[in-house]
Amino acid sequence: MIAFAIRRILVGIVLLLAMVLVVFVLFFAAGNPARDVCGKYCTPEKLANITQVYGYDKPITYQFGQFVQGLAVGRDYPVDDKYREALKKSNPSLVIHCDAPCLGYSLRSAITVNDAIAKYAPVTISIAIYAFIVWIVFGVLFGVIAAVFKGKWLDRVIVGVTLVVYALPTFFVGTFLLQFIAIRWKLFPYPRYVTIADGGVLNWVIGLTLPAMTLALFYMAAYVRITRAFVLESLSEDYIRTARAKGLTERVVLFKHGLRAALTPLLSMAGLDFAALLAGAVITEAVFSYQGLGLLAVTSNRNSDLPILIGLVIVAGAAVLVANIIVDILYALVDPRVRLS
Amino acid sequence: MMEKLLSRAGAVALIGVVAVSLAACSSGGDASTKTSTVQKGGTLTSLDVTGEYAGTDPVGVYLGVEIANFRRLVYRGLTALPITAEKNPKVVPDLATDTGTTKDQGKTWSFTLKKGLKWQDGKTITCADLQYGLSRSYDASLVAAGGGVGLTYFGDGSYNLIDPADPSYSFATKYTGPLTGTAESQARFEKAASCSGDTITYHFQNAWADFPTAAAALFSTDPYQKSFDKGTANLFTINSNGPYKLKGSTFDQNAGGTFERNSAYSASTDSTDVRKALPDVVKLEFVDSPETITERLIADSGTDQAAYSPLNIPSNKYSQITPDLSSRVMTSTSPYTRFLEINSKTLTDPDVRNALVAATDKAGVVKASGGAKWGTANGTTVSSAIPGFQETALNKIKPSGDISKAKKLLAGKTPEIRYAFPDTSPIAGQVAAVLQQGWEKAGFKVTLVPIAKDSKPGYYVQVGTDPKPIDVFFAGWAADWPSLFAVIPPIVQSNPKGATFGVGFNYGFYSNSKVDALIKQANNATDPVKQQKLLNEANEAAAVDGAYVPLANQNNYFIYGSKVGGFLPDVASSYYPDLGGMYVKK
Repeated sequence: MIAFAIRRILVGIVLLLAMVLVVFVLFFAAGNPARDVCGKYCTPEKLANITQVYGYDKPITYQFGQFVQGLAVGRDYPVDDKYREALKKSNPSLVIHCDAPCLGYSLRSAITVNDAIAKYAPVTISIAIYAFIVWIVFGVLFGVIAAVFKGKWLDRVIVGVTLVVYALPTFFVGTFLLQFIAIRWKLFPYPRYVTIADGGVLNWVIGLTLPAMTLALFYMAAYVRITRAFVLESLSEDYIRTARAKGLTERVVLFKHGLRAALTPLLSMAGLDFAALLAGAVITEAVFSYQGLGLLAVTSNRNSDLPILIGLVIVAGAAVLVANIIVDILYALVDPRVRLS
Repeated sequence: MMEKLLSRAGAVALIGVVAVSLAACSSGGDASTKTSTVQKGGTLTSLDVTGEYAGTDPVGVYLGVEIANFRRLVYRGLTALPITAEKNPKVVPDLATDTGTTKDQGKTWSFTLKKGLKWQDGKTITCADLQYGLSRSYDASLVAAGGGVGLTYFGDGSYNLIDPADPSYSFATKYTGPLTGTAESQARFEKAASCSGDTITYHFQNAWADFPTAAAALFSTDPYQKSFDKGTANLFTINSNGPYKLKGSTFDQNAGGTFERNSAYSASTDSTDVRKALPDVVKLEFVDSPETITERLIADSGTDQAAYSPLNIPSNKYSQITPDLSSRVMTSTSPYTRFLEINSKTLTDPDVRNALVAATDKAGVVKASGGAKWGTANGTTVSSAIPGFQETALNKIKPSGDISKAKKLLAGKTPEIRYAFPDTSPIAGQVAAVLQQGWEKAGFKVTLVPIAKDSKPGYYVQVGTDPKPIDVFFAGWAADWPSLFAVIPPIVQSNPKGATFGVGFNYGFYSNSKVDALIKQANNATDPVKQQKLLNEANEAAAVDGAYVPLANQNNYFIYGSKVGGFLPDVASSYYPDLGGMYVKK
């Protein structure tokens, strides 16, 4: 088991580095990062200054090496050694140090990528957790009900509703909740993110409700269908027939035997879905103007803020990779067939 | 400035017990304040879109709405434009004791600081702070997204700050600002913008007759504390000398910021003509969608009753502006104009260019863009809201286009043209289709080149570069300060030889020696009326030469909450709602 875990972690690290390299090359190959940040009144002198000071004139391999060095031990900005050393002597407070793992520095936003992500992550994590709890609880609950009442009107209603909800795009649901439920009909307070420190737990929850529901409805619809399918499959197994033959009550058959088998793959899926959400629910955060990682990605793309975009992609990829590793290890713990295969 | 946001408006002055309504093409307004008194206190909120503010460091601020807001909240200048509904207001002193003195028709300007001026940390504002503020314009590392606007005017551009002992010394190329400049260049700079006690004197190569007005509108001549300077790390910080200060250490580019009263500010050094500072708190709140902002203001509930937006109502929301909202909406002329720039390097024949102008269906463009609420077809790049505005001969062409005139000019030719436009909304595509239809009727072969919003490089980089595979492209402009100087030269004055990117906004690389000579005469003239005449002549010469294709003068169409008082878009705020006089009704 330990060997299995170590193997997965090592493979994960290699995959992470490969992902960083691909992302780095893709973004820098797409255009001129110095020109993007130079702005409207960009003269050739300014462009040359930015290119030199921030190292955009160095080969991609050198820039990548510096980036990896920053991840490992941190780095200083500006990038140009001579310029930076001169600045240390004349104005040391102008040299910016970025601690490891340094994801870069955004000249466009005057902030290290680490600080930008740390600033925006709490909103994303809050929405993700709230949505996750709702979709898991109600997705599984309604999925089980649908499976138990298979073929009956309750099953048909649940399946029909989930089909419709699943088909609705997130931006439509979010816009509807915001512009109609909150603004026009005033059925719910206008959503604003409030930290627990500022507004208490209740206001924090209220502020998160509409964006979380926007996400949760979509995932809930999917998990209702998936849970229903897994439970039905599980309930058709031979060991369930044996359990019933032994005289166990239907409740015990369902919750102790049927559901356990169905939930294992379900929870591993949920782990991966949750990890993907940590990258930021772009559409939801944009619709509600919530300052999370998703909105940061949108505005960074709009402003051609390359360092932040690279950092976000890496963080998102890393979250999914890590979740994959955790899920694989947990699965191996539960099912010995996995670690022996 | 390039059009990024929306429009500004004419004026309805409603301050004090007596309501004064202004004609200037405006309608709607705050009728209720005709009988209400101005009130102090409360929280006023400005709703704007996410990501528009590229920085709050004064050296990089160029966005009209940002200048308008910060000038009233946190950044005082040597001079300021007052809160007034007048179309041609006179500049008034702000940090300076007067609006500046010149003894050589504008080649040198001197200003003396008032006594008792303080930064938010309580330290006195000095002449050295004024020097330092301007010197940062030469530091290329402090560019932000739109920074360096000061260099357009103070560098080797229109006016050119000079060392009086050696006028040939180029600060634009040899001075890199106070943080990294050499001792020699720093010493020269301190002669170019010299201090004697509390008096600063600027030396220019070319006479700058309306420098006091420029100082009111640009932040380049504002003071900056050396001890506050952390270089690029100050991009989103604010060091206030105004009636408010930023809550927290940095302004959030995506969420906005909250401004509370600045205890170090002394109202006795200021004028209520410039800043009334009535609300206790002013919030700049950013939201991702202009449609959401409009919905909130229409709903007018909770804190949104004391909110307004400097954005125009989007055209897809016009149908929701019902008559019962008339007391909270306002329409007027905006200083933003829409036009097409022509690539003079590919379309070299003036007859072809003028045929393009004649064949343009401006009325169709206005209709596709939203109708009369959106704008009015015009014949120039200058907005009628700018003092000194004059129409050109192009105003005589029918708004729907004159196809027969275009065909006559083309004389049987069928030129191929590539039209580029920012593909940011379905309306852009509709406008392109209207233009294409009109041009093809005249005989042009048109290829549309839509450029996606997030394309790399961005739209203005693609259309501003030379050479480029584009013959005509969509553009917009508004004056950086209320003067023809801020519109005509940037668009039609020739770029320097060898330039590979348009200077100012001459992205079409138009070049006409007659136009350049008229602009130079205007620069050297000292009488503002004569300057306006010369600039209008330059604009006329460029217009009839096919320098650009005029389309429309945009209109403003604002909405605000029911508890907002003193809503007044004016010249001082570039026709955005002027924060200086707004208040929250109880």
